[in-house]
Amino acid sequence: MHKEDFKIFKNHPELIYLDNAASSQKPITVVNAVENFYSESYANVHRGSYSLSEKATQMYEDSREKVKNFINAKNSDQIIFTNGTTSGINMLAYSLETIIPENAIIVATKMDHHSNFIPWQQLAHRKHGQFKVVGLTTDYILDLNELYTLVEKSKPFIVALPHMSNVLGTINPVNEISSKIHSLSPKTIVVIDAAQSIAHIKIDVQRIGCDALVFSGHKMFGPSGIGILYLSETLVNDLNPSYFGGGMINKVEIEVSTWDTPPHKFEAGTPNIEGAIGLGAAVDYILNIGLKTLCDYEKNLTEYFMDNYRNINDIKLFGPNSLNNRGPVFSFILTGIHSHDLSELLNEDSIAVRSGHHCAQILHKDILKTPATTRVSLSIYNTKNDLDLLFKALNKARWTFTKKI
Amino acid sequence: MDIYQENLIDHYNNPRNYGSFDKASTAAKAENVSCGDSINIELMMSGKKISDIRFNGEGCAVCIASTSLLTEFVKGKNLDQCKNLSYSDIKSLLGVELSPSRIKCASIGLEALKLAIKNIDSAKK
Repeated sequence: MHKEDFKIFKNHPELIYLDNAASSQKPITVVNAVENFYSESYANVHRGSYSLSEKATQMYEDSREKVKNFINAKNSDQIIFTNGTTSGINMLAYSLETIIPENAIIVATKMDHHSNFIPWQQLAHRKHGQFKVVGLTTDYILDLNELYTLVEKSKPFIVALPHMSNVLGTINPVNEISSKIHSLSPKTIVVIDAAQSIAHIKIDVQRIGCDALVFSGHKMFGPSGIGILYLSETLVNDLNPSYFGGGMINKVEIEVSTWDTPPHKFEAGTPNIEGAIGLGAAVDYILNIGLKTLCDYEKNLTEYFMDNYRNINDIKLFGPNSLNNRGPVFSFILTGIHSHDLSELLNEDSIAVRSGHHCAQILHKDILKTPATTRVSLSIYNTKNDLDLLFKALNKARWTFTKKI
Repeated sequence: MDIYQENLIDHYNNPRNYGSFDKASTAAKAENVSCGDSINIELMMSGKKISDIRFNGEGCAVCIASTSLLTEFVKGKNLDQCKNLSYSDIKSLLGVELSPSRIKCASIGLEALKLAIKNIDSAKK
């Protein structure tokens, strides 16, 4: 329905792009925002007393304000520009290292992407702590009983979990989870990885009540190399930065330095200015469509996928069956065809999907019991026709390999 | 060009020299961690000659078919003839050009074979 907003589909009319969980395509408005900034307003931000720098600073800070409103943060100083989800989580892990006690307990889940898993595992190692991993129930849902029992018993310092699984499509009820964790263990820091949900679900950080939330620009129609780390008022004020350099200090002396106010103390060095401006344009793009329209449209596509995939023989989908707690991400195997062969065969029909473990090896090894799956992930520009062509190509692939329909 | 030619699919669905020996002269395993593929190659030697060969493991069609073709190719050959085998030999056995992301898939069997040959060499020393 929105294909015409994206030049890539003009340049590749045959392209069926079904790899949106990896990265989304960029609408013309985002491309133009970045191009216009370069050609009309480019300068470094902050402390330049000339007009061009003031303009650039204004545009950079306007984008922060847009993101603040988009996720309903209380103040814009809680919005920190990062290089992306991975960088945001690592930054946070290193900042928390200065306050986390030795032997602390850190919790993540078996449905986390490696980027919300390894930084916590490594932090636990460095602090000689324990790293605990919560499993799933039979319908590929996070095992909340296991999580709550663990939180109540061990009062972890950090609980990290994804808003939406990048493999299963499972949407975790983060509002309920966050408030339950805080009621069982008020001091626990709840970190939400919203990389997969940000382009699909309305996010309200005050409602969620999390202590930190991270996402990337490139999965929500924005440029790559830009992302957001949201911190609660307490954390944003109390935490030390973990990156140091220009643009983040108050006073520097030989023995000691003091930091600028948030968010600047967390943004050392020249930031990705054009990325931030592109991200602001991406927020505008989503708001112009309307989050409700976007959600309804994708829900409709999800329903279409769920109604029709079963017609393909020997397919096994990993993810919730209910439409209420799943997003438009579908990982599956076709018996007799390795996922790498399948994605290559689909590519012959100009269908772009991803195969492998999708940066979730624990999930594949412990829960799905297969080293690799093929993943289809949808966005606003996909259509039922795209899915029909996918289903046709899947049947064709089966025929190529098994001579069965 | 479509890499999934009948020959490749046939070697995938009916791999040659698949299985294992009761007592192999040497064996070695190679893996592609990123997709979980793993190939184990076993050699039966008579002197410096590979008198028989078996392989087993899991992999995509490119991986299994390449290994199957490779085992046919090296069976009966002297070790010296196999030491310098490279991906380009696999490419000629397959008869198709692979995309960069699939070259690793086609090379796992070869990697295992070379490890097995190395085992023989180091055992002699």
